[in-house]
Amino acid sequence: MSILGVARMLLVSVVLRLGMVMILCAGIAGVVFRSKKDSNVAGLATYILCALGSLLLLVSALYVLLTDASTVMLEIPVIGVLLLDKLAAVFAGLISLVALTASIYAVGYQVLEQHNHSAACWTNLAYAIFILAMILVVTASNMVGFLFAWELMALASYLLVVSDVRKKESAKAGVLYLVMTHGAAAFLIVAFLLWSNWAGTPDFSRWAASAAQMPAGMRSALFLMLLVGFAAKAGAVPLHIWLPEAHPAAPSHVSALMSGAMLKTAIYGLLRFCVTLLPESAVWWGIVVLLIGVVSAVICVLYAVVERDIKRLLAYSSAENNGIILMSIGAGMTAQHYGLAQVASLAFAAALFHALNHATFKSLLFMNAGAIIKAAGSRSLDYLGGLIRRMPWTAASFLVGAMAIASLPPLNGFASEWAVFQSLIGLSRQLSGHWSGLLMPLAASGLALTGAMAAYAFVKAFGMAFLGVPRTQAAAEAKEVTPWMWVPPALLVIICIALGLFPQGVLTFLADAVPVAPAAVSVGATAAVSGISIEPHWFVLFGAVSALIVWSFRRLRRGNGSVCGGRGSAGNSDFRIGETWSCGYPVDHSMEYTATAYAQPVMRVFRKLLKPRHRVQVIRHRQTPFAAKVNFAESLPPIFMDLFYRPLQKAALFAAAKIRHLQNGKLQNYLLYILITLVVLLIITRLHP
Amino acid sequence: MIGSILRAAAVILVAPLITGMIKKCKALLQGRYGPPIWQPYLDLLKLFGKQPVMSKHSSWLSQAGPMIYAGAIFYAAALVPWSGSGYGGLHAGKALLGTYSGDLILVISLFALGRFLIALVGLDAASAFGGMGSSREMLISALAEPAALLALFTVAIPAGSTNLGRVAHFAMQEGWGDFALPRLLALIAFAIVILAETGRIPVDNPDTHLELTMVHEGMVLDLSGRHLAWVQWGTSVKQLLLFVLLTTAFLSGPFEGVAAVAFRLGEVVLIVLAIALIESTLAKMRLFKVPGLLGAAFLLALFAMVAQLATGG
Repeated sequence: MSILGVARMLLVSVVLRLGMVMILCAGIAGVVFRSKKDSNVAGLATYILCALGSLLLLVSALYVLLTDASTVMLEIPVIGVLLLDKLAAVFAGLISLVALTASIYAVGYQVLEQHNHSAACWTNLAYAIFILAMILVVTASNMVGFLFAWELMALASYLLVVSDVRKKESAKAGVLYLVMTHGAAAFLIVAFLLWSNWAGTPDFSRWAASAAQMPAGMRSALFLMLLVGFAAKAGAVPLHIWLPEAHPAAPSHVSALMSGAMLKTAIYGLLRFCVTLLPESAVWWGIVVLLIGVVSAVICVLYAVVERDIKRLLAYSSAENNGIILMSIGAGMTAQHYGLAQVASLAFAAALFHALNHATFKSLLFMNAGAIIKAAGSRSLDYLGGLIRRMPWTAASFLVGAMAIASLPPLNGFASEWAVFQSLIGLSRQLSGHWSGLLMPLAASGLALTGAMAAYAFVKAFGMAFLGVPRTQAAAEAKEVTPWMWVPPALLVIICIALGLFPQGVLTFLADAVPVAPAAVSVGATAAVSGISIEPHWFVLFGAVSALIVWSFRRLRRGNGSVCGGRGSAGNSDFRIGETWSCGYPVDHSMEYTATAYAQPVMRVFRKLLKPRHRVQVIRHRQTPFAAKVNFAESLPPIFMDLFYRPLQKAALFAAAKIRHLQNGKLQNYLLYILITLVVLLIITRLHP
Repeated sequence: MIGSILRAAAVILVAPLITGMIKKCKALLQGRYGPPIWQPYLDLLKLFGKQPVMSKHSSWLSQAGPMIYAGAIFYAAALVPWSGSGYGGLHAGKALLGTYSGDLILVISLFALGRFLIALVGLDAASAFGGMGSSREMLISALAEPAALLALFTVAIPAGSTNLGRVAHFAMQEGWGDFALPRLLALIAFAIVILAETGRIPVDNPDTHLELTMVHEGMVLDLSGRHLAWVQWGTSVKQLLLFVLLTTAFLSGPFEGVAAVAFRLGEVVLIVLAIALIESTLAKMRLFKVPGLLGAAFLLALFAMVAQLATGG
């Protein structure tokens, strides 16, 4: 390598190191300065330093991605060597992007609050450690470092989830989250120990070669354990139950970070270990991942449609998008098994692209949800409304985020879903005549259903929150939030639009990130071969759409903060103001649809799947058969609780009750157990000296 | 590129005529005289000249939404090919009325973009009718989209691409051939989806403004003047595009160039007659029976796909 190349590499590693140190210092500074009277300074210092550190990390990740064949290495005392290759750079880039915007947002959300007490500095420290741990997870190059960072990430996020002590549900959500994530980590630890024992070294770079020599059964067992561990973290059904509890309980910038960045570390783990390091041995690996992805996507989007709480809706939607990413990874693994390198490369690139896009629009949506909650005081969509006039910037960025997540052109959500469609169709074309070729079109139709239902959910979310008449007094008095809180979402909006306009360039970069054997073919070539060329259109479409929007705004008149002008004589003004038609009755908030009503068609159509529970209570006039009041309550217990976890719980309790008979308190029994154990051990050592 | 723009302009101008023809055929079947075929043009001209009345609760979405809806559908009009030859410069054939064809997923997504915005417009005026139409429309489209895409994939997968030009070329060259059964099943499935997407009986009644039949009409109830004109125009263009998509993908004859366009127009007229017949003889279904119908369409498309793959297509 030339002197210039070496110098550049050194510079990037310095930048990387500086970024991480800055984040660490951010957390420590928050704790150190907490004794100052004006505790805003400490919080401000923490978050500004975090933002700057994330910016540096983003720069170094982009450098690795955009230049050819560069890998940055760093030596850290406890963790070992940190390796930033292309795959790690993609994830480090998206983590640092989300961290950058969330940190700036947090200044407005948390720091400028009046009641920022000194104990909050520990939460800020946990926040800084959370970001740092995520970066360490994606760059760790040996087992100890990876697991250490993984557990650190889980613990830091647990502390952040339970940080709002005013809410009772935070504690419950935190415990559920901790149990699920540690259960998953147990599987990971076992798998890693087995693998490193076989390979003889905890260093990941030697593991690929050793895995090729493993017996097929052991490889499959490893794959399953890794899949369970990472799928639980990613929120795949049926291990997703912690997602809709933990993400809403956390403060909004943490929710953005968890949804946008932490779920992607699980995807990174899957790609690194199950795809790159573990050579394919069975076709069912890819099929299993594909099926888990489809089922997750469809079920979670249905729950998102019927959900009333805006943050739970966004959490279910995160699980759904992760299902889509898993679908794409499954397609890629299947293609890799059949030796279809082009399709595999496209599928993995599509998965990475969707991960990147989801990070941008989901964090954007969570930040806007936090702004809504701050301004209108409620998380439930049934208590919001009419905010588009009172919070125009938040409304505009929420609209773009909603359109992106509903995969509408010309935004980035459409581009990545299109790429997933292409990989599924390309795979089924190559596999036609084979039984697994039927699964791909089925998965594609599942993806279509998911996209349309996601559009439903987000029409509901945006429409109920922002449009119509305010449903409560608090919503009627909402004010636009500080620029600290709406500028980061606006930045993400620009990135969403940019990623949507140049999908093929981005896909080509991402296709290099996951090495597919045999040597990967660039996505551009793939696309050209199958006759797809969508890029030039975007400019035309985008231009036309923006021209239309500009033209329509030209005809708007502003007055009193509302966008509808005053009354004017016919032919003189652009339009007249009238009252909404509701059969002559005066319009108030009880006329318009609520979120519950809007989702009712889906609830009815899918009632066999969702199993809502209704409770009707009739209170009668005394001694007469006439009803004075009827109470109706509808609850939606998550089906996997009854389907999966209750049976598991019952089985565990049953087994525990049976085993409890062993512990009956009699000393003689315990001495007998010791004697039996001793005898058995003696027999074993006699037989196997 | 110029060819695509010309083709789009032609489609946009002809579409209200198709709507008028459907109304006329329905009227004649029902024993009335009905409005003249060019009545939709007169309606559009009238609406563009009228001053719109906007609800005091609505926002800029009610002004921008209809225009973006129409804009997205007009853009899609440039992407749907009418003949199987001369597309995108990738095939040296006679290029008539179309030099560029788009991706079928893009076309379906452009329709979805328009629908998203109109659904929001329905919620904008804080009326119960808007909410009703909006939620029903999103449900019906959510259930129709998998069936539509699966039916189109039965042609796209053997064609090797989702580019509509390639699909049209493949359909023109292969015809039905060995794949009569899959094509027929997919055709029926897509026809049912068209009934749902264009809001025809038995899914929705386009002639009334009653609550029971309000899906599309409910969402645009509080629009008037030029905003309503954009929505009506966009809807008729979408309808024509869906007809063209049906015929190009499943009923493409072995014609090229001018003959193909003429054949396509003839098929569209036949579809107009068929829809008029269906609307006059069937009754509208209850809303919660519609998922059953769309589920049947999905199953038909699934059988088509299985048959396709089983015969090694």
